[in-house]
Amino acid sequence: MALRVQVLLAGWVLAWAVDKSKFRTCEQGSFCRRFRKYTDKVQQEPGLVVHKLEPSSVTHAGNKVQAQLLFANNLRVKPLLLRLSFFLSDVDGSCGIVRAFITEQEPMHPRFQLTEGDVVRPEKELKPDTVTVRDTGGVTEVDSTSGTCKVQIRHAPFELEFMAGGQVLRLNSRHFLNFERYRAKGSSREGLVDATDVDDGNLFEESFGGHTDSKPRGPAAVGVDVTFEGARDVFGLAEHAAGLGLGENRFSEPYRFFNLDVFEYALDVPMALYGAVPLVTAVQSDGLASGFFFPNPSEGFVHVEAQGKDTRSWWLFESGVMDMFFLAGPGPQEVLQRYHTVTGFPRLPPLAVLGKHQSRWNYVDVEDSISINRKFDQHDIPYDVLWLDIEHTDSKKYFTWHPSHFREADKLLDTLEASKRKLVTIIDPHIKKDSGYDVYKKMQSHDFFTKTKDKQLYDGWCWPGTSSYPDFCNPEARKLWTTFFKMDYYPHNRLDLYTWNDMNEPSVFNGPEVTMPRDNLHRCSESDYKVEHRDVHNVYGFYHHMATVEGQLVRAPNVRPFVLTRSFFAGSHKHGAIWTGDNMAKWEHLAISVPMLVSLCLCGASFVGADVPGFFYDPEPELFQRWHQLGIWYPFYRGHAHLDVWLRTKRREPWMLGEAITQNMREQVTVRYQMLPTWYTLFAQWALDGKPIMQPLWYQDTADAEAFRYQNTHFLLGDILVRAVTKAGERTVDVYLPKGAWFDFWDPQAPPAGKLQKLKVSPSNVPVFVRSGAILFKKMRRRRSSPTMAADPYTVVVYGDRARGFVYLDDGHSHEFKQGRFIYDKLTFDGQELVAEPGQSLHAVGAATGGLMSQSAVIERIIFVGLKSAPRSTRLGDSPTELEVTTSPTRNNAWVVSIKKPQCLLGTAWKLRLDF
Amino acid sequence: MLLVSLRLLSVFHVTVCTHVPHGAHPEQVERYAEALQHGLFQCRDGSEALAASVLNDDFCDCADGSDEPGTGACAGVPGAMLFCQNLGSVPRWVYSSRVGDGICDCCDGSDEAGCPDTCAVEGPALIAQVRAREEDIREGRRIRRQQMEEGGKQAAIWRAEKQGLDDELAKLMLERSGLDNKKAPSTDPQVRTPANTPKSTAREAPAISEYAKWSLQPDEQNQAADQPGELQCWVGEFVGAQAWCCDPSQGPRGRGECWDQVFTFEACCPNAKVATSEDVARLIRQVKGRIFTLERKLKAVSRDPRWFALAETCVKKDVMGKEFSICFFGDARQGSVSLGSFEAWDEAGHQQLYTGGQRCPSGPSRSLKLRLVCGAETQLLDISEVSLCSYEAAASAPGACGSEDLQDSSTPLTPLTPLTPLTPPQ
Repeated sequence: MALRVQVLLAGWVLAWAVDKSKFRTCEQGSFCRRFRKYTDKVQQEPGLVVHKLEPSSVTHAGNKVQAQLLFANNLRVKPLLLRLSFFLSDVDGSCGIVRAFITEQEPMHPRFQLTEGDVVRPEKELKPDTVTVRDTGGVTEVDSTSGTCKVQIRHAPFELEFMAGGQVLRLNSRHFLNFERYRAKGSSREGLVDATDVDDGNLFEESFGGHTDSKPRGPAAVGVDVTFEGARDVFGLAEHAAGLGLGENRFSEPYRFFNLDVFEYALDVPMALYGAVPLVTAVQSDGLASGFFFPNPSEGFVHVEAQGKDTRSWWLFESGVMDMFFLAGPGPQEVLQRYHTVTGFPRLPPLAVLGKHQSRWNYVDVEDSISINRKFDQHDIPYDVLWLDIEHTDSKKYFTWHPSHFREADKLLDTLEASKRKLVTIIDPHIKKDSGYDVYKKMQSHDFFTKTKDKQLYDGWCWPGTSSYPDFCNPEARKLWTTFFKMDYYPHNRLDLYTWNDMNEPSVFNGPEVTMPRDNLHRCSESDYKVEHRDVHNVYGFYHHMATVEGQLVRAPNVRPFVLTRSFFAGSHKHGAIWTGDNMAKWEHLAISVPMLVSLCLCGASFVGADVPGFFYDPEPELFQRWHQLGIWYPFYRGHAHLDVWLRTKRREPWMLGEAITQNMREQVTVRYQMLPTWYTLFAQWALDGKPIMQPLWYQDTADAEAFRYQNTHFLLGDILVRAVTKAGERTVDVYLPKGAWFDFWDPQAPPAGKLQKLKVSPSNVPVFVRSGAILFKKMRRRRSSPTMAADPYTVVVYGDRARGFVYLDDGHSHEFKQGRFIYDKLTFDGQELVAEPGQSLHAVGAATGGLMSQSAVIERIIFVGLKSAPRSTRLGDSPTELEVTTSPTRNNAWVVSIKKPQCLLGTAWKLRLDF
Repeated sequence: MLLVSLRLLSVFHVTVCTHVPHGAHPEQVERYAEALQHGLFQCRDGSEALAASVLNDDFCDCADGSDEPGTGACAGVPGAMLFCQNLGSVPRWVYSSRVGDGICDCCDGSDEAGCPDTCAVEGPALIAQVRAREEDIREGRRIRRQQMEEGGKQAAIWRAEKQGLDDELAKLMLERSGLDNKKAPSTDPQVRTPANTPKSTAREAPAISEYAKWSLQPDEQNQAADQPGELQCWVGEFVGAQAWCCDPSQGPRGRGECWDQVFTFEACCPNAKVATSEDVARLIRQVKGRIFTLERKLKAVSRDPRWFALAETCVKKDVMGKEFSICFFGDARQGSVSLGSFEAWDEAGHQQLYTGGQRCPSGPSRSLKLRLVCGAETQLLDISEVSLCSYEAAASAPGACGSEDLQDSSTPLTPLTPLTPLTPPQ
């Protein structure tokens, strides 16, 4: 849902494409404008020293080093505090996490810092990495005692170099460091101290788009340059509708972070979107990778440019502190595992939400919704979750139901429960200003709503009309919010009634840039309303999402929550799923979905998807099919559509476009469900081991320069390669297959392929290949929903002569897996023996102990694809009984060998022997 | 995909199939007996001969799913279904995807382990429903045959009417070309004094025929025919003929049967308004309109005489306080709003399409898809707006009854309703 409509006095007026003038550029905001001037000046005067480290101030204890940074041009200005902390990776215990923290001392106003544990884990939970410190004259060297990680600090001008293995990140090597101390209006000083000394325009007030930001505290920006040495390829900085390679995009405008509800967003631009993860992974030409993470929740700009063999960047935020993390590789996988060490591991979703989601703005009433459910059954098309958008409420009052259309919500919920399906209702953050609305009254009586700069209740316009916005930054407000999810509060509630958080940037129709004024006030963890919205803008949605997840946990602590959010920040992966917002039913939007989702995965958030087949407008039938054919390979697969009025987006359930397309939809959705055991394993390896689900083509082999060129293709954890078909009428496509042999997922009889392929594409599916050496786990029987597959046996597919694969399963819905109650097996095939080793470990939960299974663990079939010859006999372990085998030749004289009922179980050790 | 199959190991059973395999239809007994011969099971598609033990062994051996009629092992194979006998209730087919999934679908519990037999509870009402439906269909078919006969007669009438109108149109066209050439009323004195004109030359090709009058304005014509009168300009055969013939309300040429080329409206009727080309054009429009309507009716029903009875029928239904009406082969309305006019049958011939209705605010013009199902009564069963300004309706009519209707149910999509005409067990 969530078209943004401009509210005028006269009523609703539509804009038909993004209006770029509504959104600020770097030049249009004073802090970014003056930073650019400042960096120009610094570059023009090479000898200029603004910051220098005072060697005598260096202190050191355990894993920490502290020092003072003096302002070289005005020593009367209170020095900045620099603190470095060293940590070890949670996953492998190796060094390579360095936190660099810079702030002003005794500030005039407190500088906002995120509460420990919300985005970044509390330091006491991290494993410290003890360091040694020595001064080598002009340079302080800090060495990890547990490995090859170290930091060198040059004193004057201040520069910092982070090294681990062969990776080098330089901080402030171009001397862009800019720390704007709070000051009284009208105060003056001498010497170049920060960017305000280059341009002092709009320090205490500025306007944009007819809105004035009062800026009572004046300038407070923080910025610095970061250089990734030897790395031409830099990725991350979700969410932008742009290509994966941040430097390759060659935008002159910096990437902007300012969570916004952008109506009909433009593609291939660095404009801000709904969410922000200020993390990059840089890949060097030798394949080594490193990361840089700067979790500041105020408005941000990051400029990235390739320069020679290096990539240079600068990072600038409107306020707050400089809290930065250097993350070592050696590979991108390890960078991400260190990121998860710092921010926390993702939340494992319930199994059911990996199935198909069916949404539309709006299923009209109970009868309409039940008929949708019935038609899925009539057409024998599986799905798991039905979604209700804003119209299901009473006057857009969340936690209520429409008095006539959804009066009998129980009837709908009972119907869904009878087919073991679920319901999602939308719960947006804006609360209708209505003294008869209990949520409003409770929030108001506790004084938990966001205030204006004058500490008056802030009213904004959104779906319900005049609305107030809870201060989700305040933990007490979040706690009250959680009570709305209790069984006795939310009418028609169920333990598995799930939630959708939309419009949480927050979207405010009549606010500056369609959001809240920056001078609004929050309490957050303070005793009074003194945190400015500008300080916390980018975590508003993060906290809304977090509070909602906590609400579901309060309702049922042992039921895994599921909450989808549109706005997000670094760390939102700990809460739930993210989608790419209000896209369009256009081929370009299908195409950009792949790099957008891969970028999110590289930022730690793998439970992601784009609305299929585009939110706005009507898709042509071919686009409809191609998008669903791709969507079944998204981690989050939801069909959604805009409202019928205004943009006239017609009904588009799977059966709306005639028998041929319905049949194709049935087959493709079935493939999604057949692959659920593999999907669930991918999710476990992401949530519990930190491995991203969607990966770019270069991810498994960073030395493969060619792979960096392809953005229309993604891996699922390295073994399954999916090529989107991104153009109308495309009959042949190029598919780049990285090193190794690749089997056609759709045709096991086809010879394995490699390198760049020009392929004829089937109208029935997008090209999908499986790496030779992979083992996939499937359940072949079509069912109506994923819980109805629980008792079904597994089919194991082994690709190639040598293979290895993992399978994860648990009860699918509770938190018992945290006590080890799950199965995690490794299967290895050496050409003769397929060996299952149960009890494997995942980082976050340790070794599998099995038990508490409501799921079948039976393997009904093992298929070997691409064996050089057909086996003479096949036996399980020492059993004298030969197993029943069907063989069929492939088109390159190899064999597909299928073993019927091998009598083995997942979660147990066994060996299957093939004799040739 | 060609599968060359080698059964490396098979356990052979000699099975004589005398009973129906679980999940198969009783009528399939012979088929399974045939498939199970010499200890082998032949997949229905003929692709493979497998060990007899593959039948219902909870493993999908045949590509067509025929070896697993009673388990969910082949769920997902197109056409794979289980037949629940549902003794005491209505038998039905369910998709194999429903078998062994933990949800009881068949009232006799045959799709799941551990489902109770509830057929005795749901049976009587369902059986009554099915019987009523079967009776309705039988009655519908009877009416359909009757209507087809009546329809044949009606079609003959329409065809005759159309033929007459075609002739009429030709004459009107001729007259219009005459009027177009005649820029002003004629000044020929002979034409203006009919008494001097020999009668023998009269009464060729009347400008407007009796037939047109009858079809366009039958009521007025009948009333007028009762009025006696005098024919002054004619031969004075009855009193008041002039008033009768010169009645301008009968059109620009008064009463057409009065005139020939000599005795014309203009000549005989003093002060009469002279027919203009506009008047003739209006008549042409009227005749063309009626021809169009007839053609549409004839074309609509020409695919099958079974639809004749619908052609002049309208049905109505109130849905949530809104009154919907559909005149078959005519217009569909919601209250006074047009939802469209009959445009065509869909390709399969099961649905009528009505298009070109009133435009939605900033939207497309309204349209309707009407599905016809068999029923003794012609009535509107259901109508809804499936997406903005796009409606779907279902109506029952005897014309929709065919031999297939006893197999087909009113919701042909779902195999959860009977697909086969099995009389419920007594």
